[in-house]
Amino acid sequence: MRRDDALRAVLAEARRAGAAVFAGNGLLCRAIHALADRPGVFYMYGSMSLSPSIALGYTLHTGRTAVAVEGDGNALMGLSALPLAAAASPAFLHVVLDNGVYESTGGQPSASARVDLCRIAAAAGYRSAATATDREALTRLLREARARHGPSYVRVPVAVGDAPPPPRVPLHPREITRRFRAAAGYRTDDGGEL
Amino acid sequence: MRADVADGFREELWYAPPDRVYADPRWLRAGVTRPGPAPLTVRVSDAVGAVTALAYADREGSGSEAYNLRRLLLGDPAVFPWTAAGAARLDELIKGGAPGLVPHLTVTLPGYDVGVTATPQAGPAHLRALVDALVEIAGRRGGGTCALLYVPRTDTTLTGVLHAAGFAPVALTSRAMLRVEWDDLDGYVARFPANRRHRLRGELRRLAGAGVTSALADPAAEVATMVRLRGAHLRKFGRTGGEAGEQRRIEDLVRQYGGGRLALILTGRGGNATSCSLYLRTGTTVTVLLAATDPRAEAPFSHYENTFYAPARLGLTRRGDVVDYGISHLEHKTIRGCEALPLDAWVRCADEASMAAVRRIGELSMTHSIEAPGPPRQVDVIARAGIDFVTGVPDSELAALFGELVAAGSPLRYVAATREDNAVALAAGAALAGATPLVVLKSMGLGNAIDALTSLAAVYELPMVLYLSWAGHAGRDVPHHNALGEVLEPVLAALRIPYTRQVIGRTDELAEAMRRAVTTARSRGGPVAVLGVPAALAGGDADAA
Repeated sequence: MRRDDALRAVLAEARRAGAAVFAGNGLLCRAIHALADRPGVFYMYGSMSLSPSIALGYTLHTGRTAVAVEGDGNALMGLSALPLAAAASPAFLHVVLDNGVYESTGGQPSASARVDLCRIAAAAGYRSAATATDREALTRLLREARARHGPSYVRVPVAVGDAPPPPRVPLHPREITRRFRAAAGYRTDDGGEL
Repeated sequence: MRADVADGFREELWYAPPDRVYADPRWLRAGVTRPGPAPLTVRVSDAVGAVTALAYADREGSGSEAYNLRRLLLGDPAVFPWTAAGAARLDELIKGGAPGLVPHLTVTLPGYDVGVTATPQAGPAHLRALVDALVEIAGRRGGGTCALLYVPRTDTTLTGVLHAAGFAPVALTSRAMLRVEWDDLDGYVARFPANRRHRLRGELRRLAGAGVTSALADPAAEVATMVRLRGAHLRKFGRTGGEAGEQRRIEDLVRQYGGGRLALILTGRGGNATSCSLYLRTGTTVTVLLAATDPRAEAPFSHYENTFYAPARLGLTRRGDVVDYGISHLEHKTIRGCEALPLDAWVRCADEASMAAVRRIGELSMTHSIEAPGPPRQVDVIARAGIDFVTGVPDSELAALFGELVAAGSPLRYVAATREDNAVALAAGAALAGATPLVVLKSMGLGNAIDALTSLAAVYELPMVLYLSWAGHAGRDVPHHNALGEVLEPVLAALRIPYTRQVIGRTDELAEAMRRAVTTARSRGGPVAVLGVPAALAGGDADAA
C-alpha cells in the first residue's frame, strides 16, 4: 500500500473517533502534517520510539482515545513500551507503517523483515494485532479497533519512497503543545482555569 | 469511597425496599468500613446533605432542592402517596421551623418510607412535633419505618428527641454534608481526578459561553433584585404574594449583618440577574442565607454555579471557608486543617425484630468507623503538592514510596513503566492533558531518560517532576553507583534541569521539596528534579534539605 493512502485511512478513522494522534518522528510527522494537519496531532520531532508511550500517558490520564502512528524503526526501538500498553488496556490504537527501512535517514534496512511485529504485540498482551495489506483490510481493522475496548495493534506494510519527502513541519514544539491543549480543552497556563 | 460507591449508595437509597435496606446493610457498611483519606477535612454544617443527594439523583437535573423536595413530597401523589392532611401538616412544620434561614430539609424516598432531616435552628418542641408527624405519617402509610438521615452526632437536642421517640442511631460517618476549608482553590481542585477537573473547567466554559456571569454585589443595593427572584422562586411552588415577606426578611438581614459581612453573588444572563445567593461571612466561615433562581433561566449548570463555583470563588478571594454541596466527591476532600464530624442516621421501626437489626447495624458501623489518623503517607504529601499522575521504575531506596503507590487507598494513579524513557514519555502524555506528573527513578536511570527529558519534555515545555533517589551520593556508595552519583548535579545543571534535595523518608522535607518543584515545573514548563538522598548516605550533610 502507498504510505499516504494508509495514513489517510488512519487519520480519517482517528478523526471519526475524536482521537488524538501521536506521530512518531521522521518523515511520518511531515507526511501527516502535509495530509491532514490539525491541532489534535502531536508531532514528536525527537525522542525516537516514544510516541506510543506519550499516547498512553495521555489516554491513561484522560480516558480519551489515543492513536499512535509510527514507522518500523520507531517500533523496533520502542518494543519495551508494548507491555505497558497491554497492561494498561486503555482506549489505544497503535499503528505501525512498516516499509522495512529507515527512510528518514537514507533508506538503511531495518530488522523488521526478519521480525513478526504482530506476534510480539500479541504476546505482549494487545487485544488484537494484525497486518493490513490493502485499503479495505486496513479500514476494517481500524473499525474493529474502535469498537473494541483495549489496545489494538495494526501493522501496515507500505512502499518505500513512493512520494517526494514533504516539507518540514513549520511548528515550534511549544506551539504544538499549546494548540494541542487548547484543542483538547486542557490547561494552557500554569495557574489553571478554575 | 469512590464515585461508584456513592452511586450505589444513592441507588439503594432510592430503589431498595425497606426490608432489604435494613436486612442487608451493605450500603451502610460500604460507607463506613473503607479507610478514609487520612486527614479528612470535614466538619458538618447541617443536614443539607440528604437534600443534596436528592438533587443529584434527580435525573432531570433541575438542581433546585426545594423544587425536588416539593415534587417528591407533595406534588406527585403517585410517587409519594401521602394523605393530604399529613402532607399539609409536614409542610407547615417544615416551613415554620427556621425563621431567617432557608429550611434545609427532608428526604423521602419511594420504598424507603420516610426520612427527614431537621432544620438547623429548630428547638426541641419543634423537633418533637416534626418527629411525631413523621411517625404518624409513616404509620398511616402502613409502613412504620422512619429514618432521619445525616444527623450530626453533636446535635444533642435532636438526638435526645429521637432517642425518646424510639429511634436508634446508625453511623453514616462517611456520608456527610461538609463544610470544607482549604488554603487555595487550585489545591482543592488538584485533589480531583483529572477527568473531573476537566469536567469542571468544561462546565465553566459552557457557563461563560452561555452568557452566564457571576459577580459579587452590594446586598443593600440589590434588595429589589433579590425580592424579584425570590418571588419567582416561590411562584414556581404555587405560592403567590410572598414578595412582601421576602422584602422584609431581606431588609432585616441587610440591616442586621450589613457593613461588609454580607456578600451577594448575582448570576446574570444578558444583563438580567437570573439567580442570587446571599452569604454571611463570619470570620472565615461563609454561610448561605438565601438563594433563588429565576425558574425561566434555570439551566443544568445553575446549580453548580450557585452552589459550587460561586461560593468557592468567594471563599478563595476572602480566604474563607466554603459550604460545599457535593456529596459524591467526599473522598477527595483531603485538605489540611479540617476534621471529620460523625453523622448518624436515626432509624425507627414498627416491630422489635427490625429494630434489633438496626441496632446491630449501628454497632457494626460504629466499630468500623473508628479510625485514628496515622502519620502522613508520602503519597498524600505528593498528592497535596499538586501531583496527579505518577510513573517510574522501582528502586530499593524508594521501596516504601512504591509500596504506597501500589497499595489500595493511594490518592495517586501510578503507572509502572518498563524503562526510564518510557516513564518520561508517559508523563509527557499526561502533562499534555494538563497533569503535573511525577516520575520516580533511581538516579542512574537518568541516563536512559536524557533524550526524552531534553528533546521531548524540555522543548515541548511539558511540566513534570523527577524524583530521583540519589545513588552514589557524595561518592559514599558502590563504584557503579558513584560513577554517575558523583557528577549527578553537574549533569542536571548541564541539562538545565533545576533540582532541590531532601532526605528520603523525611516527609516534611518531601512536602516542601515537592511543593517547590511543582511550582517551578508549572511556571517553567519542563522537567524539575527532586533528589532524594538515601538516609545512609546523608550523614553530615548540612545542605541536604
